[in-house]
Amino acid sequence: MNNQKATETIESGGKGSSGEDSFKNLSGFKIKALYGPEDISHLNPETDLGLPGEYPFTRGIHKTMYRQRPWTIRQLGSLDSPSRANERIRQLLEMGATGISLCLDMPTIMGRDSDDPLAEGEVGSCGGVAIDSIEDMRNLLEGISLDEISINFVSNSQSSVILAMFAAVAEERHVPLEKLTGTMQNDILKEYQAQKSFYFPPRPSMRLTTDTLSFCNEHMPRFNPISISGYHLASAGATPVQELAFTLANGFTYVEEGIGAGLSVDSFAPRLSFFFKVHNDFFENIAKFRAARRIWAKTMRERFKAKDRRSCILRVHAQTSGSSLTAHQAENNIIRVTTQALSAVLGGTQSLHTNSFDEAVSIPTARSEKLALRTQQIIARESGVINTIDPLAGSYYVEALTNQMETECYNYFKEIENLGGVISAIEKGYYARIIADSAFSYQEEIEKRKRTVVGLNEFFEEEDIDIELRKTDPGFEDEKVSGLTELKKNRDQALVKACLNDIREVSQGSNNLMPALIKAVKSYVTLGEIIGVMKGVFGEYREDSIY
Amino acid sequence: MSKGRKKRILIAKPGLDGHDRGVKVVARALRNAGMEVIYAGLHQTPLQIVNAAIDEDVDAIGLSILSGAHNTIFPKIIALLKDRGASDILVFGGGTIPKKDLEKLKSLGIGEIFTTGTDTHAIIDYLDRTLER
Amino acid sequence: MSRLFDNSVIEEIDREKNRWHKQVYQPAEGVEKVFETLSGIPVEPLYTPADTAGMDYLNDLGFPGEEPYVRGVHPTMYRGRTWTLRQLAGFGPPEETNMRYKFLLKEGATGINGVFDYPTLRGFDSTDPFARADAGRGGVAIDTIEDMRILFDGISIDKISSSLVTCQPICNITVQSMYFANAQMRNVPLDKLTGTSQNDFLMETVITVAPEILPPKFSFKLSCDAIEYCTKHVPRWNPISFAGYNYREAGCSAAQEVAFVIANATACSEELIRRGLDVDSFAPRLSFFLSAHSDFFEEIAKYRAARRIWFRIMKERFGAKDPRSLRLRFHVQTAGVALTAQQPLNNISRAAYHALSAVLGGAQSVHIDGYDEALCTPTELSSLTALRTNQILQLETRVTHTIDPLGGSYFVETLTNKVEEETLRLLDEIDGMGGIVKAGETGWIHKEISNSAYEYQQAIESGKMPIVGVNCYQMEEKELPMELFEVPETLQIQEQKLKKIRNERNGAQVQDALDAVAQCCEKDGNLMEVIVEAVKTRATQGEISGALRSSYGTWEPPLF
Repeated sequence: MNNQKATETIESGGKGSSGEDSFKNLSGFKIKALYGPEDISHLNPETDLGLPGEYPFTRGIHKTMYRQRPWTIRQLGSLDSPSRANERIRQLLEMGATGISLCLDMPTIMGRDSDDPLAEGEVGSCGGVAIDSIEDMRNLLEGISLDEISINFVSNSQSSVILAMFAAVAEERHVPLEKLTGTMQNDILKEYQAQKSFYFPPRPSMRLTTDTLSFCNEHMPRFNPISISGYHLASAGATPVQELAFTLANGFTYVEEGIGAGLSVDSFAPRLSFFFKVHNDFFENIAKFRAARRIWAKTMRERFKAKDRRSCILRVHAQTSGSSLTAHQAENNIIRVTTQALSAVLGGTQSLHTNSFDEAVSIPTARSEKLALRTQQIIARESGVINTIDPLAGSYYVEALTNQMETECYNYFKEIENLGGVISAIEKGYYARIIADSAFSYQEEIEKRKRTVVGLNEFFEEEDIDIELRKTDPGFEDEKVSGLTELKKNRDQALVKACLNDIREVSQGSNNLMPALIKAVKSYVTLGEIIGVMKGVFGEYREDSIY
Repeated sequence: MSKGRKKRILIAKPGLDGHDRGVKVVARALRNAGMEVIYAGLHQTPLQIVNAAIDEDVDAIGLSILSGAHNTIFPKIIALLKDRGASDILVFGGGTIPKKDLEKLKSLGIGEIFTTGTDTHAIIDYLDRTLER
Repeated sequence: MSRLFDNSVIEEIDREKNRWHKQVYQPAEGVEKVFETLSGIPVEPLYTPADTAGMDYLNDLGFPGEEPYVRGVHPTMYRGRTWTLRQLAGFGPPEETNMRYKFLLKEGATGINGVFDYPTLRGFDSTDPFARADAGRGGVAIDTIEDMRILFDGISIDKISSSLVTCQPICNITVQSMYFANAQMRNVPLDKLTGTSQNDFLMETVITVAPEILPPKFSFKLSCDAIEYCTKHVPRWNPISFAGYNYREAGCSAAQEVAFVIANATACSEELIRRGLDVDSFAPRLSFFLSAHSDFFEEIAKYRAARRIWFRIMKERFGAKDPRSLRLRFHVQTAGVALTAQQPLNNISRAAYHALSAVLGGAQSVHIDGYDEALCTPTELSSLTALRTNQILQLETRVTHTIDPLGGSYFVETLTNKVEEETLRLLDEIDGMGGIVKAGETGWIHKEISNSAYEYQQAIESGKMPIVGVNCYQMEEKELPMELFEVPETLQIQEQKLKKIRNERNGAQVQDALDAVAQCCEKDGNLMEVIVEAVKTRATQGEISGALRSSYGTWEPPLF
């Protein structure tokens, strides 16, 4: 069978557009005009694809996938004040969301309380909730069944403290810790690589990570302590294949660290989960998810000798691509979100967040949130794509692309290995260089019109668009600060001091910090105070600026 | 300012936010356009920014603010520059800033704000034009 | 024979799958909910190479632009040229629609897709008592050749492809004639014109039944007259677009949609051959118009199956030699019936994935419905959003980078085969009845569609077919979040025009023209030849249709 010849004929004889090179995907792979059986002639369906719920899980991690239960519809539910966020969460649950993600405000992300001088003007910013003390966590979770609703805390460098507060509130409410579900993002490696909200140098950060891992292992076995995130790498500029490779490499690093901290791989690996972006290229994304599952399964089994099949399962939360949305002609974003969401579902995601169409100009309103939610419901209930598992399996193109993604990943793994591993690569500026390069190329392509964004560099219209900053209650910052001042006045000062000393000592040693943190938050020690003490012990990290 | 010398631009991200994709792309674009770029990086306070600007003898300061804190930060920078007698340094920026705030900021002395969807060439042209005077 | 995997591998895969199904898959609860496509084809939990083991790649799939055309009708498909963005427009008097055409062309539409109002579609003048209330509704009002001139004023008809959604032959025979006559009067040679007319007799007799319709066999004759005329004089025009979309909107299933259009096309081909035309002289210009409905994969399978079936019929039954006769080319419109009045912005999502299925299925051109479809004629904003949807799919998703990307998928290939099976069964049944015209006369088609439509509605009411916002996730909505479209004043404008025209035209000439029409009916000649001349005298559409009705009589369709 001579598809090769046919392809040549097609490419030379047909009215191809100038430059077959223009048919590249976002990762830069050249896409052929046609894929046929010979492109996957080495595919072994049994070992390369397998069956759903069976190694290597390429076709899906569960045996019934969406036929029994659709993916979790997980929408962001945070707003500046804990009580307003609580309201939004309850609204979303009523509208049909089946999981919630919570973001923190800028000061909290940077480990500072609302009354910190550097926090001025940023309390409650960006739709994130301001968490200073356990009191805020209580208000946030008011009336929500902690053992029923799965909450995803988008918290990283401060996640040990947030986790402590969460556990403390659960204990107060007599909810056994072992019943708690949910996720802590807690992926510090990607902070160094992309999001930059780190505080301490890498080593102490990893210690905190393993402390949370061990703690969850022992006390909160249903909780996912790390959501290894590619989304931020992609938003910073990484191409889909780079996102995939870097995220998996980070995942493997966490596994190494966990084992290094004395945990057996099968005791914590089942609870590692992943968070990917859904890029604009429809098929590339599907291939990315399938390749991810296969690589993870193989590596866990072959390199880390995992025995429990759940250690080999890559569970994914996906979010549609915020950076692909435009401020102009915002309705167009509904279309982008729809195709991206469909791509995520065909790729077999376990949970999905769809962006609101006004993403580029404001924090979602209740109305735009609802529309984003409905998009998922339409795909789940009306399109019929859930009727069968991994429907694109066997497609010559998709299988070939999945294989290509996998091969490229192994190339990146080699590069990182040669640099001495992920942390070493971070310190050597490897990620900064690659991501800055990809980000710059992307912008160049847009400006040179090699990459089209409808409504931006093509089919542009004069429009009176404006950014709509959410009107934060002007009194909110003041209110929060004065509330915090009150709280600090009324607490047991001696106890607070003792707790902070305790934290200092344990930080200097090697014991697990979580018990000390939980005790501290119960005594109304604030997040900023805790982080402050840790900074004193661990130091602060400054990166080299590579652009 | 003498014509002929390369334009010196300090680029920074004030405040707590760490999302630096945009600011880095702009920094590189300005560098590629032949300007001298001093990249001060993340988490800079207004005081740190102004000090660095004066020390480095820059022609302009470019700030990226995505968090909504522009109404606090920009005025601080302008005030500090005035205090130090350095008001001839041009201040411009980018980020999620609504039009009505822009009017206010311009009246305080901010040169220009470039919001979402801006072409890097628009920024380069602006600096070329404005700093030639 | 080219097999993908050898038998022993297939057997092993099959064994493993059975094991997986029994021991791993069986849900804990026991009896499994039934999973079906929208059209009722059962869907298995999983498809493996074993399901496609019997396929012969070269004979069953082949390559794009080659027999059997399953992977695409053109060798380069969207890598060479993207699908045409053809957005529908038409409302009020022709002056208004002319402006909307120009707007869409400016915004990037690459072809015109014109709809006509109810009176025009049914062969009545705007001022006719039957028609007055509907003038300008549902499309643009065309009464005389003067209106046609205004409609295309300032538009380069020799460069732009115009699709005239004339629906049924009674409309087409006059409106299309007006288009051609207008071209002649603008000194544009007929052989330069490109475009498509709908001209589907099933539309008239089965789907959108109106008062005073012609009997099916005469409606069918008018349809063939137009095809014959174009074959001889307007060779670059597609004189018919079999309207599967409309059958689907009326309620039929995916397989019925394909079966009815192909049966129709087969009947036309037989008639034209009977009239002495060579199959390769007209077949390349037969085109199809299909729906993109809610079931994503079923639609993709449907398009691929349709191409394979058409190819085999043309080659084996009609002995067509020209490769262009063997290709099923189709325009797609996303399903209007799948959109909701409730929470209309949700329709943007729906139309987006419907359109994606059309593209993955290899459509030649796509119209995307506006999100306010269920409420009104599209506003400018919703038209624009629909256009942008097309553009985003074309330019941002990169699904265009390779041809037939789903080729080889165990599920899609199996579903393609299943849709083909069902369609062939229906075609056999229709053949057995004596062909589609007969099937229309006896009311068989009416019954099939009516049954499907009833089942569809039942499924919605019972919740078996979820529709977000309608039978699940409903919300209290106080007001519509958007502007509804207001149809501009039409009746008075048209009335004025007609009065003026009647005063100014040569009455005797008009009468002669109408007499010529009657005589042509009598002699069974080609009516388009006569009507193209008739319209030049400024005879109105109503007058010409009236002449046809007088000659052919009217028909009462069977009721169900």
